Formats: sequence, C-alpha cells, structure tokens
Amino acid sequence: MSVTIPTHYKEQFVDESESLWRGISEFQIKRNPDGTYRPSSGAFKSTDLSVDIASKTTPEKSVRNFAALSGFLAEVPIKLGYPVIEDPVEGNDAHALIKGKIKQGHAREIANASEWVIEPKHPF
Amino acid sequence: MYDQTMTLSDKYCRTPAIETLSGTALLDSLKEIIEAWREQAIPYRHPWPQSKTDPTYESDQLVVTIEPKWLVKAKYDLDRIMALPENWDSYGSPSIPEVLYKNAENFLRSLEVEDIEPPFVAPVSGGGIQFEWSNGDRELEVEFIELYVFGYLKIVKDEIVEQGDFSTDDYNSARLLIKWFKTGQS
Repeated sequence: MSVTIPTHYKEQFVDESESLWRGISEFQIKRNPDGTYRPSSGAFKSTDLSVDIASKTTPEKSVRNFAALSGFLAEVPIKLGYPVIEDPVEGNDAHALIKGKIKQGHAREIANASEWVIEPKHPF
Repeated sequence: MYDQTMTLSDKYCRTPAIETLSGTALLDSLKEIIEAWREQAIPYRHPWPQSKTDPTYESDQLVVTIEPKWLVKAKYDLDRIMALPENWDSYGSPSIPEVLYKNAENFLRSLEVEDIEPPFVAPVSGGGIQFEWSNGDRELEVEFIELYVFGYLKIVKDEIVEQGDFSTDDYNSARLLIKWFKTGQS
C-alpha cells in the first residue's frame, strides 16, 4: 500500500534561478565611505531566514514597513549549503525560508551578493 | 565666663595664653574644644543626590571617568539598539539579551586606549549585536550572538581572509584584531 503525502506537507524547494527579497531594518543599513548604502551582514544571520520569492510578489508588497528591500539570487545561499524552501504564510504566499543557521562568513557573502530592489529612502 | 553671644568657634578661640597652661590643662582644653565641635558638627553630605547605580558612584567619592569620543559614540549606538522592542525587524527577532550587551560593552572597553573610529553598531536578526569597522580595503566584523564567545571576520577588498571566534573574556585577542584592522598585521 502506498502512502500519499499531502502536497502542503512536502517541502517545495526554490529553484536557484529565483530572486529572493529580504526587507532591511533601518538599523541594519550601513553607509559606505562613498555615500552609498549597503545592508549589514547582520540582516542575513538567523536560523531559517525569512525571504520573499520575487516571482510571487511585488517590491511594493514585500517592502511593507521596512526601510529598504534587498535582493539576491537563490543560488547564493543554496551554493553555500542552505536550501531554500517555499513557506507560504497567511497574507504572504511568496514567503520562503533559507534553512539552517547562517554562519557569519556566509551572511557576509549573501550581503555582498545582494543589491537594492528598493533603496533606503532616508539617510541613516 | 565666656560671652554667651559668641559662636562656638569664637568662644574657643579665646583660650588662655598657652604658655600659662600645664600639659594636662592644655590637653583637657583641647579635648573640650573637640567635644564641643563634635556635638555641633553636621555630617557631611553630597550637595546633590547620588545613586549607587550611578556608574560614577564609588564609595563616597565621585569618580570622573573620561572616555574617548569613539567609545562614547559606540556606547550610544549600542544603547540605541538595546532599546529595540521585540519584533524590531518585523521578522520576529527578539530584543537583544542583556548578557550580550555586557559582552559587547566589555569588548569595547577593552579597546578604550585605542585610537580608532567608532564602529557601525547593528542588531543581528535572530538576536545579537554586530560591530563593523572599515579602514580603506580592510574591514572587521565582530558579532555577539553566543553567550561565551564572540565571532570575528577579517575582510580585505570584500573578500573574507579570516574568520573565527574567541572567548568573550579574551581581551588580548580583541586588541590583536584591532591591531590587524589598523595596520594589516596580525
């Protein structure tokens, strides 16, 4: 007898080619010497980091009350050894998780790879 | 009899000519003066209220501490992120635990004598504190996430050249990290 696992119990892995967006708090935006801004790697250190799958949302919806929105390809965390799985939540079908506890060096690599989808509006 | 309108000090200033007193009489006279002073003396108090939780409070003395400007700024920024409430990043991150604040503050204090710029102080998603220093191509990141260790990252031209961690009370290593940051030499 075969057991069928309900679809919503299966972990849906996000493809490497997807773009992932992460909202950045104003406290995690660092000003570079040239006057530009970059997200602190502290914004990417967490266990099971929350992100949005870009193809399933819009920048306006994802930015919500964040100071800025950063984006990077899913291949960045995946190649560092962190799978990305879909994790839709109430009110946000685009929600996904970068699984695992992201180490300091890896968080910095993700920060380096990220670009602004919505730049910081205010000087910090 | 002494003049009753005199103040205590005036009164006791009019002591008999000292050369006319015997040794015992002189001693008695001095004792009398001291006793009279003790009875009227008002215990000394600080002119302003001072709390024992005030960091400058030490015994009954006011200790003036002078901190370098970079440390004052760093501690201000540290206090700022310590005031962040639960869910400060809208991703459910908790407030920063007090113990991590103490570790981070002690780390900064161990560098008190260094001539450096204040670090960028950032909260870490998931709970923690991070210091970031930039000096041309060199960058140093120090994180306080664990209870007993701090992690560090040495970066040159955006490339990670070294990472690791030290015990939170290993202040010598903290100073060596700053030495690397300032000079490029380990």
